[in-house]
Amino acid sequence: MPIQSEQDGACCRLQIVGDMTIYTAADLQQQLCDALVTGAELEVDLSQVSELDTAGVQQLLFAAREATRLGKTLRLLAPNAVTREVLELYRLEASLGALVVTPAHAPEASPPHDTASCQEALP
Amino acid sequence: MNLDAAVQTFLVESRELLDEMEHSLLHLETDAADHEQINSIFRAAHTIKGSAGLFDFETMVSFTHHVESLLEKMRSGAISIDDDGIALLLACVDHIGTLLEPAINGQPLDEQIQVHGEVLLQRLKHSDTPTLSTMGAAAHQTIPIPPPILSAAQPGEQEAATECWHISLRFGRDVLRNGMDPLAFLRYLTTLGDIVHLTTLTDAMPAAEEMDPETCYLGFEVGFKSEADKATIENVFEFVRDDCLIRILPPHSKLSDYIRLIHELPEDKIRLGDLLVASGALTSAELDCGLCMQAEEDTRAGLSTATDAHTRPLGEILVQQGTVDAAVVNAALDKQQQSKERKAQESRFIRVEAEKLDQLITLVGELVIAGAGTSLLAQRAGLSEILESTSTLARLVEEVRNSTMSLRMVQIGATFQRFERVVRDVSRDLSKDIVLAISGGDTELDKSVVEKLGDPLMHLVRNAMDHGIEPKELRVARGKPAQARVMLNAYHDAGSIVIEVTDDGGGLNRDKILQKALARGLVTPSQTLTEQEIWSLIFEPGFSTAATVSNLSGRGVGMDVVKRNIEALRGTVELDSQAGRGTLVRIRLPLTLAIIDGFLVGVSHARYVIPLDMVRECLELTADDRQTALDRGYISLRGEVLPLVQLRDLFAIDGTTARRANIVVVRFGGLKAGLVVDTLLGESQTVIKPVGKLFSNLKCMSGFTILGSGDVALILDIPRLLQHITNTVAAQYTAA
Repeated sequence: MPIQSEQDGACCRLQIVGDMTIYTAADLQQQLCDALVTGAELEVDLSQVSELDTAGVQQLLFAAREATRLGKTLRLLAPNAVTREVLELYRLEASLGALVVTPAHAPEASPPHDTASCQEALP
Repeated sequence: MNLDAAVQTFLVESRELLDEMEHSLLHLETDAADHEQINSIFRAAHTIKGSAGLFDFETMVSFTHHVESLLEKMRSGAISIDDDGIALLLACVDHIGTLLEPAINGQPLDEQIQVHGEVLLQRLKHSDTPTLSTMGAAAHQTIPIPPPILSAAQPGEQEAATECWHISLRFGRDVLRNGMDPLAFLRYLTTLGDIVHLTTLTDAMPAAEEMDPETCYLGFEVGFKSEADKATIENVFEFVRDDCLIRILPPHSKLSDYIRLIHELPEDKIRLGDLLVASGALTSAELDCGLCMQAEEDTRAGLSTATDAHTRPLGEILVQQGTVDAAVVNAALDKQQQSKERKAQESRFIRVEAEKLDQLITLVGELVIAGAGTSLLAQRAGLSEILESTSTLARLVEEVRNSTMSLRMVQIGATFQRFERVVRDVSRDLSKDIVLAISGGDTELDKSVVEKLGDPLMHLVRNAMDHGIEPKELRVARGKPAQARVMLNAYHDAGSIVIEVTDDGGGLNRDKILQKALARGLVTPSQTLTEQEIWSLIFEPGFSTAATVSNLSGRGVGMDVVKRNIEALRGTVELDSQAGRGTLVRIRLPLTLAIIDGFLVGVSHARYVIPLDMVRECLELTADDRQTALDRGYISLRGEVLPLVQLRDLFAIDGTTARRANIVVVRFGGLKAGLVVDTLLGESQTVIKPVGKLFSNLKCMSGFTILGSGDVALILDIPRLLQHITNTVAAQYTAA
């Protein structure tokens, strides 16, 4: 899971490319902690996540809690279909949803095979 | 722990699990609705992945992970289980098998395997995409449940108004590390009904410094609308039940149950109460009422219920309180019982290195010889006490011998079962409809024999399918059922094990075999051959009657190899066939290869051992009968012709003929003969020692043994001996 880190003034942006799973959770936690310490704002770009499991979700929840504790701003950018499906299943719209920013120009992820789209397709 | 040993265990276990997976997959093919099979496949895949992870076998872990994902989707019903899926999974099982060796030896994968793996991975990923319709469908299929009846008369038994199940989940710390993802369970849950409400709890998540990214700190409160019963919902969490806190409350549960739930869960009581209200499980009025009731009850009748509870089993209390109905408790108890039994079964087996067993058997062999020596000495000394104790000793030694030998015995069923897959695959390749019927799977034989049987059986089964079974159209035209049968059967017979491979195909073409044999100069036109002799021609090297060479068989290297393999195990093969009806191949093998019960006979000073299982009876050959009998070369035994063999002549033993002689009647397969010997010395336990290379060409002898007196006795190879007699008798008749 390569994480691209970008510093833009007080805002630190992490782009996660690839899996966000138990295999990469340790690395991610380190990066999140570092980023939360350095900048006043943290943006996590979720558009390139290929797999998200509970360990990954836990990291997002962790980041959200730490951000609140440290009084910093966390934004989750452009979650793709994979991440949205998991967040919806966990009903995290309430706690994380407010942090989600979906840019108008963000490209839609590859054909979604999540629950939501299937349900829409049904009569 | 010795890592090498652990790797070996991993190898053995993985192979077993793969076999299990294959077996379950084949079962699924016939009965796709069998949920237990999918679960067992899933468990097996999961165990393999887990163990491979322990040894850092990256390729195996990642590949098995994808297989598991597909299985997960099949389990949850997201993907229907069809033939293609099963074929893909079978291919994956094979692939995991091929990954094993390189992983253990630390070799890089060869390119072909890699490419194959990639192809399978692509197919695995593609099979993800189809219908997720069941999930969507389930969400729309909620049937209205009648509103609850609140009985005001019993406020303590007041029920919650909600129509939803309430499920509280606190996953164990290690679930993620164990490769379980709570997500998967929730997804599976959605196949049973509709998650109306879900709260993800992060209360257990520690401060940043203490947080371990691989530990699961999450908990869930789920409001769940479903028609499923409690056992079904509980089974969703079967894999994690042991280390997770799971509480399931049915719709319209008693308020007191919710209160108890709040007390049982680790989080703050007030927060949980709020949560339940927020999730719609309880109204705030109900919560207050329940809390009040409980407080009252605590003060009022606390003591009496407490004593009650201690004297009655928990299940009964739960039933009485109406928390669960009796059926649920019984189901749960059954489940417990089953898992206990399974554990008991697991601990009934231990793995022992084959080498240790062999060593034990050698030692028992020596013990047998030493024991025989002791009883001989006791006999000579003529001391009755010692004789008595040696006979006890001899009996014990015999028992030890028998149980040691039985340690090596395995059932042939597992070997037979492997052919289910072969038959399935080959019948598809040949586009014939063939089923495998197995009988006598519990017949036991020596493990070393079983291992060497695989190849010859494979040849025979493939031969039967390729050449034996006719194409479908021809079968129908011949008035046979379109579905052909190949049968594997095993049974014990006269100290040997018999394995039969039968097909109901077209049978062998007698004329074609004869023609071919004539063309190859194996027989001359003037020879008249019995049926049996014609069939045995196909065991000649390079003999094939197949008109076309297919990729399965027909290259003419099959049957002679089968025969050689079986003969190497001191066994025999025979074949029987009826045109249009089918073919039967019968393999006969000795039960063990190490120690046998022998019958000791003497000719002059030489001693011979005949395997006792093959001895039918002993007769006295009187001096009068003797000359005529020996001249003719046979006697009449109850009206049957019994050919005689003089061991004295056969082994060219010097010395005068004894005054009296005995005949030992031996039988093997369908053949019988009488062996003429001087003395009968009785039964003796015989440790077979193989003869050296120098004597390997000796016919009629399968080994030697050391007697108690220290003398050496030869063990007669009765099957070969009988063959020899038949040949010489036949030769005499043709000559005459």
